Amino acid sequence: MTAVANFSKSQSDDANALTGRLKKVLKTLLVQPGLLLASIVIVVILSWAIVPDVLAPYDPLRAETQDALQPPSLAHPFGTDEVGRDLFSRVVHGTGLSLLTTVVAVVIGLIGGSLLGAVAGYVGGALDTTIMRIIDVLLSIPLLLMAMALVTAIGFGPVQLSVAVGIALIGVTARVMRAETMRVSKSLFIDAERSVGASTGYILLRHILPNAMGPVLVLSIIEFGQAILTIAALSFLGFGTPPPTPEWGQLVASGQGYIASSWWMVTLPGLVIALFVVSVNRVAREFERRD
Amino acid sequence: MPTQIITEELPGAKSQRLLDIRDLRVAYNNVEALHDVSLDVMAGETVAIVGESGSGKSTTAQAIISLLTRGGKVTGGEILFAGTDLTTVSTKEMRGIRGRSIGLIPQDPMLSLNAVKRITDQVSEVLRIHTPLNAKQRHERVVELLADAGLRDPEIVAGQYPFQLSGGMRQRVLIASAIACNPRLIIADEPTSALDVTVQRQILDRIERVSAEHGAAVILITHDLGVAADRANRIVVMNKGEVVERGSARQILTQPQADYTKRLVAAAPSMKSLSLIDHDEDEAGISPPEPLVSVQGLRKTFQRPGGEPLTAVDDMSFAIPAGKTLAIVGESGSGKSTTARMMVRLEDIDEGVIRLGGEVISAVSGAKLRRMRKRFQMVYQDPFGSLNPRWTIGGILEEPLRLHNIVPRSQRRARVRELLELVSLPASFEFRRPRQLSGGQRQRVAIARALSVEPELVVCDEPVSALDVSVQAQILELLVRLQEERGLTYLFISHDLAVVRQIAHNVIIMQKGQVVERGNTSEIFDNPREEYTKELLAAIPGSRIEQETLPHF
Repeated sequence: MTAVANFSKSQSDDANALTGRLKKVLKTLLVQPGLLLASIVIVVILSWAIVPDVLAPYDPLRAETQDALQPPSLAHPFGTDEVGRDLFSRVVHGTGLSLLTTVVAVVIGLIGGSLLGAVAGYVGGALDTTIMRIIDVLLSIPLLLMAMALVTAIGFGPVQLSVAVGIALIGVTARVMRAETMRVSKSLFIDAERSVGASTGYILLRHILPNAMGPVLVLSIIEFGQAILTIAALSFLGFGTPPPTPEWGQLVASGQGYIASSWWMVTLPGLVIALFVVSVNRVAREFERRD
Repeated sequence: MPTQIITEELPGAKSQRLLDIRDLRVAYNNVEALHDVSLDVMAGETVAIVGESGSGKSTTAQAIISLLTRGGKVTGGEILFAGTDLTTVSTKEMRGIRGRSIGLIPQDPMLSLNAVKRITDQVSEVLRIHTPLNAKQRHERVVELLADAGLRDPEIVAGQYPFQLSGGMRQRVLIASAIACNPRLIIADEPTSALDVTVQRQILDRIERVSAEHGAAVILITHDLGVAADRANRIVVMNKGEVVERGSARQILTQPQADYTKRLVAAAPSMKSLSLIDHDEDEAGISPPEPLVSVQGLRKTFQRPGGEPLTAVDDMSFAIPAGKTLAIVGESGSGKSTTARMMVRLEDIDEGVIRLGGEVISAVSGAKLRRMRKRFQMVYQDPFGSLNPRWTIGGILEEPLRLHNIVPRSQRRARVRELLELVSLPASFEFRRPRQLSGGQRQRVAIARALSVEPELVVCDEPVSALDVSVQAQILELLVRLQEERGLTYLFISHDLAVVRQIAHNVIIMQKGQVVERGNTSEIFDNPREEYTKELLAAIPGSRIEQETLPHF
């Protein structure tokens, strides 16, 4: 009986803590207008990715040739492209694919980097040296170049792009994870676990990883911005989704031929990318500060 | 034996009142932490503020020098220092007082020095701010001050960096900074709690001497009633932000009035005469023929980077009869903790054999060692670090049961509750997390975890040194009760002889990896043979007052 009572009590405590936390979040946002703005940008762009059909005024693939190369107006807020498709609708519809590719890339980097880093940090010795020297090599190659080399090797397309950028992101994550794992491994409670008779794999999975994840997750959010830029750049260069499917980097690329006469085709999708990356970074810094 | 504690209550007529705190209130984020604290310090006297953690003793000190931590604010009362109310002076004026008129000796010598500056630069900083001396004069003065603070080779120390100095030497450097401008008041905030007893005594002697030479008054903040009794003219006892009692050192110790003070005096290990355990059968010589634990020729060497190898434990042998407690006592670097860690197989053993119940436990490894681990468990020094902060107490206690499959899944929950009850914690703690528990409660959880696998040997590595005195006493009583009820065998590691006297049947004194002396507890305490043991015993705080005022026990 008391157990149940206590349990529900701890649950209601949790609920109270949740509303308390929500209040705190709102307060933080209100005192930092920059952060508030960044959060709004992220929410808007995320909703583009989730319900593009509701938020886009036109079909992104439908060409109205008589409306080709219209500058921004009330009817076409971002203008139209060379075959008369509404650019804003194409940006909105391109969000989903761009973000999905990025999320997959970041998740690959996170999982791969965390595993390598955790094993290197906990086991140490020769294994640590081997893993970390390979990571050093990975880190010495610039992200874009690395991703480009990988995507050339495994082929073009959105999935390949994700995998390539994901692998290129492993290095930094592994470094941070290794450092965190080493810090947590030195904690007294890890000694306690060993002396209780827990096995190495069990300790790593149940005790070290959960305590070491914090900074790595924050790092992943920071990497998110970098990953979007890289993927957009690679799409721009033609390694990603083939036209006419809308995708952010590819939208910028298709506008470059008209940059002299129709500035909006390059500038506006580019601005959306820039705005989103800056906003994600702003929010990530906030997480980092609080971690 | 007349020492400075014979000075009785001074009626203020003779001496001049240097510091007068009246009805001081301090709040942190609008929660009041000090309630109407009043105390005074005469010129040249030493006043000790004694209390446990959270008593407000450090807040009082911080308020005097206007260095309250973030969120703290003086909300009422006044702090008169030589006639000036320090609560009303400007930040700039306060900077002129700090360091020049009031010197601070901080708590942790490891954290209080700048790691990248030479000692001479750190100490001369005070002189640079408050005196017109030039660089060369300052350096000369620093060397003088370091010598005053009791450092041998002050010229060499001045040119060194903090990492090259031991804890005791660093504390002396901080003393040198504190006295650099001949302050009229020195605030020593737990100046020795991070140091070994023999070093502690030297540091306190030194503070006593320099304050006498410079005619400075001292506010000594400490959790250790023994230290306060040895060093102070008067003692102010604080609890929960209030002054509970004040009086001469003798009064407080022999006729405490407030209930809290009585409890504190009773709990202070150094004051306590009674042993918690029964020694009778030892004297009768009825020890079992085969001891539970026997250790032979234990040795451990650490390879130091760029130096010759350090032998941490050298040819250590001992035996512990079942159901008894063996204490290993030593100062930091004596090898006592390394011995403890080898006993529970957390540290590799270079040489030697450990037997538990006749079985060799020093040579097993891998899965066999993991299975064997339930026979020997450890309770760690730091109860804040030894529990995974993300797990609930229930989860922490259930884990060993699961790993060793000691009780079937369906009964584990009930067993966890039994374990909590065993260490006198409410069953509702099952759902809490470590951060919601106090230090003493966490240590109870750590003990419950160690006992969950029903071990034969429990190694306690300084289990009470991170706790307040009254909590210390409770944990020691718990350990003794569990030993009586369950016939547990303890290997008890401690630097604190006073604690050891209360609970150990036999004692080993270690120094630099070697056994200096061994014997049963009463032999060691009443008739120490070795010089080092005598030195350790003499350094126990509270021994001065004990010899003088308390009847022999």
